[in-house]
Amino acid sequence: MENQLRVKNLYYKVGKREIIKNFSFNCTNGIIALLGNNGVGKSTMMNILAGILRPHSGEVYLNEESLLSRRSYPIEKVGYLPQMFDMYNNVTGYDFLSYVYDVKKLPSQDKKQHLKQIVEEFALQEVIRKKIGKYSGGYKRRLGIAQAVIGYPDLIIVDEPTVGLDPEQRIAFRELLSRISLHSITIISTHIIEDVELYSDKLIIIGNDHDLLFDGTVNELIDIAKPHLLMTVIDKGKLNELRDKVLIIEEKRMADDLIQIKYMLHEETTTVLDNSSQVREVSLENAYIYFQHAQNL
Amino acid sequence: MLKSSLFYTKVSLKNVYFIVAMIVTLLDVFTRLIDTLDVSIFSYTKYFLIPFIFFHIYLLITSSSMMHQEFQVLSFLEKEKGKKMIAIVFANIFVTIGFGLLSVLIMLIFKNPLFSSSTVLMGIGHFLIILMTGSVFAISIGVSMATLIRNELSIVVSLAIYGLIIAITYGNLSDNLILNFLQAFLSDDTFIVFNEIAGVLFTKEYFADKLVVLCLSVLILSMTYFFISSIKRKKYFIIPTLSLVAFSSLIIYGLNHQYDFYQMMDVEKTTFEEYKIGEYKMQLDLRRKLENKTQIQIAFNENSDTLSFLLDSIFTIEHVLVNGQTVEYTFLDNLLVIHDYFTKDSTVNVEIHYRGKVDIKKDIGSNLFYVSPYAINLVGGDFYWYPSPIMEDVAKFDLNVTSDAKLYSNLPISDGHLQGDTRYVSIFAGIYNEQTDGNIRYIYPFTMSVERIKSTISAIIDEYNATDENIEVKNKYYNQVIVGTWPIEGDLLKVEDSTLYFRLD
Repeated sequence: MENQLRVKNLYYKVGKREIIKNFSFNCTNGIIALLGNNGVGKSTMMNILAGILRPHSGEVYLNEESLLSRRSYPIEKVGYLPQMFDMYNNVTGYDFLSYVYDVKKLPSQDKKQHLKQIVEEFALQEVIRKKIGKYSGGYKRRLGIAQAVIGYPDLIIVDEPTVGLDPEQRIAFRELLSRISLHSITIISTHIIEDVELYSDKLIIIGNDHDLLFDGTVNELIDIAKPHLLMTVIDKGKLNELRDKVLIIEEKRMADDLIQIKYMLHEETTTVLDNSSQVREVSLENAYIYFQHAQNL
Repeated sequence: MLKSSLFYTKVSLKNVYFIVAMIVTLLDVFTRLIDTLDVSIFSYTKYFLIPFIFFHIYLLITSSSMMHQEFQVLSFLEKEKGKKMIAIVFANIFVTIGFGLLSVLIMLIFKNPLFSSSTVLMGIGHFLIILMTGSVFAISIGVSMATLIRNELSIVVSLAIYGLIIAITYGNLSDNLILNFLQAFLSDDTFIVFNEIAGVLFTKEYFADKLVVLCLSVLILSMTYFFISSIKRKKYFIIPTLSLVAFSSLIIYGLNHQYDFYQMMDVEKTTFEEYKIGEYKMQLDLRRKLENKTQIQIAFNENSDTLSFLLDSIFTIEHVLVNGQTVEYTFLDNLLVIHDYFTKDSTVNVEIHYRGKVDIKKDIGSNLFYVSPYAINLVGGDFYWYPSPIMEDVAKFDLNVTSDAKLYSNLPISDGHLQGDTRYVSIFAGIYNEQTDGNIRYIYPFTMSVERIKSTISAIIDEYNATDENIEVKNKYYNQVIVGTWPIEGDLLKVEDSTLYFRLD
């Protein structure tokens, strides 16, 4: 089933400080990455979507059903994995999954089968009857995503999914997210560009002004950035001198004290270095850095 | 909510403090407490002190610890912190119920089979009331401290508050309900000599001081709920308001209420008229209170315009009739004075109708004289429970007694009818064992044995042999021994008619 999420004019502030300003976007099944610098309101946005915080104004519709105006938030339709997933150390993984299933008020007759399926799906068989306090970081993260997937919700919210995981666990976790996003809208908040580049279907960037900076696909973002990025090769010794003239967004060491640099070409920046050429392979990271800098220029 | 509570029950149970509490409880039960079940079902609760304290400590730690730990995923699933609080409270109540059921099972398995079912039921009821009251109080302290402090320090503060309450209330019962109420999370008789014959009297005061603690707990919990709940609805005020009103009312009641403690009557200074009592006829109701409609036949040896009796001031007089006519009377300081004209050599018929709750305690707080559906201790001569002259001669008594308990007396009893000649009538009921040894019938508590009673009597007789006192005891002018309680100032043994009273210390 194709799910739809509509976020309309969300506004949230703490005291006089505006954290989210009239934020709107739409999305369907797939991985939607929420990007932004630290403190721009990513976690606040995730908490609003998860119903933990209430916005001052705005609406969130999941399949045309309002999430915020309902008397009780439909947790059975939403899964949530916070950045710091933790639980009472003295309960077993199964106790916890069982509790999540119960709290979501899913059909009790299917409980055993469903939990078995989830445990197998996330390869938790080995540890599921052990106390959570004895889990490794990887198993804990897997248990976290397993609980978010219980009941196969329409919307899954994952805050900083790969923080603290080693490279192997990261790959495994990304695969998990890819799998579950086939049937649900999976919103991940992250500052690890690599997570987004490989798996996300859509990007939403929150600007430093706490408003929506970009809403589109990875390729769309790259296409926008591409004309403004140049590359050249320089002597290592000239690097510091050039920093004052251009905005370097990537440096790559080469042989014989040479460095390949990628830098931004902006209307205000007239300097074009010698032997510069258009960057042919713009990474998401290049495009993202361009966006972040461009908004400040 | 039930599902959440069951989850928190698991969190609570899979806890090292629970294991510690259970180990301590089982050790104490099987090394010490099990023996108490052979002699008194109520003593089990009294001596359950250490398991109670360990269980309360476990509840304080676990409720505080579960409450102060915040997990984002639970915030998402539960949304309202108030819900989490209620779930934790119920979870720990479930654990308490489980703990209570286990204890009840132990009581049922190891109790003395001679205990009556009503005694066992009361013993179990008493245990569960004390357990629940104390537990709910401990949970409310733990949860509220965790909500206010929001870190591990709340555990320390909770334990400190509990320790402070134990320290303040450690010791004897006070004569004021308020000063006793904090002790309600332990058995009232924890620190006093316990009257095993009476067991626990389920009086108004008994329930009042448990209610004070429960109201206080509900007040603390509802205020905490109100404090943490993100949605403030008007209806949330109802429970804290009601609990505050109930708590305040009980405090006011308690401040105006004192236990009745025994005070020896100074009758020496009182002048009594010269009269002789011929016969007492009583319609006595001893179900919850004492109510007596007594008719006394009196012959006067001199002219008098007053007629005085000793009658304890705890009673309220309904009416006094002399020869069927209402007369004036004064009733003050245990002295009833009837104002009428009585002529020498005349015989009058006086009817006195009175009633009152009998629950008089020794100065240390244990039950001394009492009337309850299950236990009665009315010792004539020491306690003026019926109108008596200062120096009582032998009179004829004819009593019809209504009571739910099995009665014992120095007068012969048949179907609630007591009849005979004596100086003082005494009536007893309670958790008694009976045994006939030789020609003597022994009525005694389960904490004693006939052999022990006999050897104590022999030892006392040896002391008496040096004097001429207590000829009746020495010469065994009795065919019945009743163990009862009366003031410490009285003799350990005394004979009335063919009954030897043995004081329970």
